[in-house]
Amino acid sequence: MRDLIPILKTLKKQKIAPALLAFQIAVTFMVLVNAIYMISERSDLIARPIGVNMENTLIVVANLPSEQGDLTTQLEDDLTILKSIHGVVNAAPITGLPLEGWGLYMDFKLDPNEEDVAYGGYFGSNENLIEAFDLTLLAGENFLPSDIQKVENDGIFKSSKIIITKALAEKIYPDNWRDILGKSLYYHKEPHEVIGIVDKLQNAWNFWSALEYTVISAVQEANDTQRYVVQVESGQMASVIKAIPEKLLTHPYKQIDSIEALSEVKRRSYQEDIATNKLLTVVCICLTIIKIFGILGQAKFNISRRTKQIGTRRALGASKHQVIRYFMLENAIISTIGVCIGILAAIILNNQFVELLSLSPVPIHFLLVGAIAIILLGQIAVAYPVSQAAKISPAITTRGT
Amino acid sequence: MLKMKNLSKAFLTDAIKTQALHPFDLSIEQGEFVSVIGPSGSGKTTFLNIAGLLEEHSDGLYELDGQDVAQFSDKKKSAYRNEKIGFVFQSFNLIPELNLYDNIDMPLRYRKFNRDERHARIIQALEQVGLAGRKDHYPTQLSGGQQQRVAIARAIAGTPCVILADEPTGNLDSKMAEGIMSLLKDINAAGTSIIMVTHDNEQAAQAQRIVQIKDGHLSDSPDIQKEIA
Ligand SMILES: Nc1ncnc2c1ncn2[C@@H]1O[C@H](COP(=O)(O)OP(=O)(O)OP(=O)(O)O)[C@@H](O)[C@H]1O
Ligand SMILES: [Mg+2]
Repeated sequence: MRDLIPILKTLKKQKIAPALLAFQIAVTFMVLVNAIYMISERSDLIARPIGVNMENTLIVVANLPSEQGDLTTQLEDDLTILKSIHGVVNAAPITGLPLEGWGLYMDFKLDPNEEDVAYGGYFGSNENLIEAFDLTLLAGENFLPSDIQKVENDGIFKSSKIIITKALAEKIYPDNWRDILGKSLYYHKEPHEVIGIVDKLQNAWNFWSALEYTVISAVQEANDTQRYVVQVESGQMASVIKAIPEKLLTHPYKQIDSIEALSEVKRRSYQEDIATNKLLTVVCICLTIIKIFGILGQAKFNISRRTKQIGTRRALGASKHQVIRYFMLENAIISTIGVCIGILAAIILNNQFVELLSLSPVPIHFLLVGAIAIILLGQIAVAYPVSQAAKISPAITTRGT
Repeated sequence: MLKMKNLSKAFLTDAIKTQALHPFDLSIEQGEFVSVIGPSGSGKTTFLNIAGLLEEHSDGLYELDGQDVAQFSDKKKSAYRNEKIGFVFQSFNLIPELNLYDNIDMPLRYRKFNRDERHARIIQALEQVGLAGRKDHYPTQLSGGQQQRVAIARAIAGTPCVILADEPTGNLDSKMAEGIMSLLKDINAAGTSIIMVTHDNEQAAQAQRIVQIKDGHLSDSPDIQKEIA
């Protein structure tokens, strides 16, 4: 590296200007890396699968008016109608929805007289839910129609058979989650026999640590506002959505609150996170653009300030390429110093950051990738002014002093 | 060492053609000290720039140290310039952020010299111009005359075959100018050719040979020497 040492010497002599530039790069680096890390963490959270077939699952919310008599009968009529619609695979009632932000939760015991072993979310439904959500049953069995208890409210207080998520099984039996099959989980003092384990099913609250600890109970509740889960054949979503009101609105008291894809429920649940991410992304892009123009401007200024010097280097034997290499290297050195300060500061400040701003610490590999990106960004930003610098004629050394 | 045949130079700017140098022939042998004189705007700097490969000639032949330089690529031309030519500019053109040692080192770094060889050359050049004790100083800490000495040290450190100097004493008072002149003469005495542009006839007369440029016409007749003397 012919130019490395001379560049370091000139930077050392100039001191302030390159130090400021490096500091600026360090700050940009810190802000960008933290912001991008926050975005990626949040995106990862949003990307977590619910455990349900997102493409073909439809949610219908309708009323069960007491004027029309027995709620359970009405509910079963609705289910019959829904299942009869062309393109519907199966339909099931449910007491709440994944990510709805509203729901039931409870503490679980293995022994009614002992401590809790876990807590989680609750859905009451029937034997059709697995197909209506397109859940994956990993072990055990689905409910039989004869397992289902039919109530109008307070299903959580019934002793019943349950199907739980693998995450909950692992929480209770970390060594072998299948061991929970056949055991009883106690909540509200009643025993509930675990007969099946599904791969995944998120419950009501996206921010909850027990989001994936879910229990499906064989208790079908009929409520005056009733939720139905409908599994639709591929490509039939639109036609099913269109057909539901015609079929379901059988009398003047019947009202449909909403018909929407489960993906819509999820989108609503993460609305704020998605908006925050968008805002952060825009901020990052703006910052990057400002940074590029900042570096570009500084490089331009630096080069015009050193026009004579560049001409001298050319006259004394530097080729165009060597001039380009010199200034690219100079920029790379300053950027490198900047990101090194940034990384050091990140490591030193990480603890304070984490406590003060409740940010999660940025992992080191993320810092390194960010560092390389910032250095490349600098190189891109100086490429144009530097290519102009290479065009400076060596003849300026003898003309126009 | 330097051979120009039917060489001419025209500048084209905004469709206006300036014939800076009309076709001329010139040969300079190794070891000669040549002065170039002429009125302002006559083409002296243009001539020197072409000789120094800083500008391209428009027409004709130019051979430097036996090689036709017209077809050289930028890379080759830069390397050739570095190896064959030492420049001394009117405005010194030292790099302010580098100390004297590193200023002299700068062109040497483009050569294949190793560290020790570069060091030896730098020290020797600094000794030759009498500034060895100030190698760690920066250009701004020196007088104009001293800066020009550093520039000369930088020019000779690479042992070029010719030194091109465009009014090297133009920014100096007469006493400093004298010192520079005697330094150049010493260097010439050791075998390096020198081509020096000057406004000062007295200085010009110290060269073995005088070339005059008037309105882009270059003349190289012995009459000029007499005229000046
Ligand atoms: N880049 C250029 N473009 C157009 N014309 C130019 C250019 N450089 C020089 N010239 C013209 O060429 C002519 C010769 O200029 P040159 O600089 O060689 O003169 P000079 O003898 O060195 O003058 P001085 O003694 O004032 O330094 C002038 O008429 C000048 O205007
Ligand atoms: Mg001139």
